[in-house]
Amino acid sequence: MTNAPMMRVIEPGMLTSVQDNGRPGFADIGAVAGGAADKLSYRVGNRLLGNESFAAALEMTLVGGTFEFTHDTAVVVTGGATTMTIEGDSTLEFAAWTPSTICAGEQLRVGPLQAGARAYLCVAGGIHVPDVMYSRSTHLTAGFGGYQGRSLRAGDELPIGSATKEHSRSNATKASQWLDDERIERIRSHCVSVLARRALRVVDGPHQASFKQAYLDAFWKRKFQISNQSNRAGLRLEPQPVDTSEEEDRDSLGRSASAGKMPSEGMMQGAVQVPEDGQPIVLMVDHPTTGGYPVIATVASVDHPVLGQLRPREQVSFERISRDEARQLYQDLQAEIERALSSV
Amino acid sequence: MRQHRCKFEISWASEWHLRIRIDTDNTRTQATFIREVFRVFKPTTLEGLINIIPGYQTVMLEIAPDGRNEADIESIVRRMLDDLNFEQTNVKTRLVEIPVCYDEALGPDLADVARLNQIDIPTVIRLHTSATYHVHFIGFAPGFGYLTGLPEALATPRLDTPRIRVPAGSVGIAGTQTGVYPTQSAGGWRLIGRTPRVMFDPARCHPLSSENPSTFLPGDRVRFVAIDRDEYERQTRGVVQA
Repeated sequence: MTNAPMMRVIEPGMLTSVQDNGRPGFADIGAVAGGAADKLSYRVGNRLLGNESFAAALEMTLVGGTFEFTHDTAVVVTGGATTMTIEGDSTLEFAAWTPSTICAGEQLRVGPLQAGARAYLCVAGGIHVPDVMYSRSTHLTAGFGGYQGRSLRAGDELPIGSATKEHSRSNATKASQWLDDERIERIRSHCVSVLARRALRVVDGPHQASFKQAYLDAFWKRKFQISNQSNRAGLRLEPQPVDTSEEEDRDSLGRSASAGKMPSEGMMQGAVQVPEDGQPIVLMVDHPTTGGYPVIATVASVDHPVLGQLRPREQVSFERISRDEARQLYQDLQAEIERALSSV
Repeated sequence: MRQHRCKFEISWASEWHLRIRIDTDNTRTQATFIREVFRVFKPTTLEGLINIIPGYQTVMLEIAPDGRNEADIESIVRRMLDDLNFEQTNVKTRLVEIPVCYDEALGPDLADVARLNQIDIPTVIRLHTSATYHVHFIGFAPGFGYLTGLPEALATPRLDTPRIRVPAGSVGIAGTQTGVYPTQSAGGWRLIGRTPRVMFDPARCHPLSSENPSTFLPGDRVRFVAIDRDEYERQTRGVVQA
């Protein structure tokens, strides 16, 4: 019997993988940075536990999962709205974004997400899978990193960090020694409001000039529905009709969207690619590094965490901003989160 | 003597991504451009540079502005573009040999590629192994090399319906392109064989390693070398044992 702390997967949920801040800097050999799809929730989760900001965590998709721990430790679940129960001698319920202690042998059950698409389970000290190309994140399509390069299955055992004295239970169920309710609520409500945005802010894309005016006009005023064909590589969008006559509406879509295919070129997260059928694809964290369709707009980095939380059938629209605004908004968001966390 | 000046288009693709496109249809010049950008643009020479994302005739520079405005960055980048060397006289390039087993069990579209080009299978193999290819750039998926130099007689359209599962190491043809699937994936290329070589191995990336995870690197010359089924099996076992 080993003494190293482990977490065991009892129920993996729909798609659960080990993720961290990703591995930027390998686009020259075709490897995308990847990492957590909602890096805001992921990073805040680690900070709430006193972990390093970029400790590895579990990313769960739409439904949660059940996990058991070999040692006393502390956990927090951030991201989409869900319920958490700890089942041991008695059953305890606790809220998302609230760190909790958990004892050896107890099971943590994360319920289905009522809002948002992804939840992050952070554990004290982080998940200690090996570093692969300077990151612990799972590259699911290429099959490397994380836990054996794949999503988790029942029975998997993952080495985790050691909890510190601060994380021990000492009768309290909530880790109230280092966080008071008011501070947690301030951080939670701030993150939740950031992630609730559905008017995605975009800057002009590199190929916007190649789009027909009718398509551009429709693009700015239309609502788009997230298709269930979406994954960590991209969100597929289905254009929703606007309040004009059906015929006119059809004309502004479809084959006439743009110049069509072009020689493959480098792509980035947030790029809104438009294939010939006029149905946009928003590139997500695990996107191919190159693409062959024109990019009409690019989702500003301030709204990248939102992309990771969009559920199938939710509706989004696009709001055009300047690149200077986009940079300012990104910096403001970082500063606000730091301010909220600095009291932690 | 003043070197030939190339025209570049510079534009922003996001608040962090500067896109540079070289205005030429010449694939050799495009490939030189990509290779030269990787030589000249480094985090040490361009402050805030995080990533370079190549394409056929574009690169995307991911840059954290660090207080500089767009015009500052653009003028720094324009000055650096002047340092690109398009007079490739004594550039050393690697020759990478890729063993391929051209067997219908491993290359299920071999017969179709022959039939569609009105040649026989031995001719497909002879043509595919006689050309020298160039790695234009690596992209799409980890270790996937965009190769130029496929003999015209082998150009074959993609499958109408892509396969759900193409094994790692599969060698295929799509239009005028040829390439190797580095990892198992879905794909619509016509498969003519398979290599036992591991095309992408993240374990090759560590601080004491001079190896690269990617077998192909931009600028490499590539030859495909035919091996028989026994040799393929032998080398595949070697890979598994290693």
